[in-house]
Amino acid sequence: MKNELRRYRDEVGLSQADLAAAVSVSRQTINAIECDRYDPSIELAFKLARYFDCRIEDLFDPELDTDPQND
Amino acid sequence: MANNSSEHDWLTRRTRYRRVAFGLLVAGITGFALADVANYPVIGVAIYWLGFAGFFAVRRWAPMELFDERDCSLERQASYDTLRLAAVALVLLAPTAATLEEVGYYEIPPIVEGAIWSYAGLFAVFGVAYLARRYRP
Repeated sequence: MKNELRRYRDEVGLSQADLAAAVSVSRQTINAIECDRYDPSIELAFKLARYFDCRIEDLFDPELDTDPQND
Repeated sequence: MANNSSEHDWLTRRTRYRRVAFGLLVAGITGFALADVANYPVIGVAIYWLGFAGFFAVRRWAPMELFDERDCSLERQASYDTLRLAAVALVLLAPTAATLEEVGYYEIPPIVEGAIWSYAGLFAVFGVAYLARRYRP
């Protein structure tokens, strides 16, 4: 899942380790999310959004096909 | 946003707890092997169990979660891959060996027969665990 986590993190000058500790996961988990190798749980997505004071949709783009013709 | 040094401290402590937990596990297994080689099998088993007990104790009583959701996800994926591998082995091995033995072409060695039954038992346990998860209230 595409995401803007790295951009948000860079904007506030946080390291991956800082963010990892802030949301109680490992630094590797933050790295995996930023590299699109791991999709976080809803709970972690909420934690990240709350941490950056934004909406989940601002952080994550699931690239859902919302065209009703494709249903 | 929290203080960076306390966050780093949290990560460092978590890493330390994880190292202690896995260290106990490795010590238990190594101790078992060494004691067995030295002909102290009972002591070896005691060391082995102590190692595992220590691992679970650290995991249980550490002041933070030592395994995050990605660790759990990786564990699930690895378990799934292992089961698929076991399924392929069972599907190919069991009927082939049984048929060859039936036609008198091959006699299944006890170790292979044991492996087949172990695989079958693994899937029986999986089936029970799956149903228990599915229908738990």
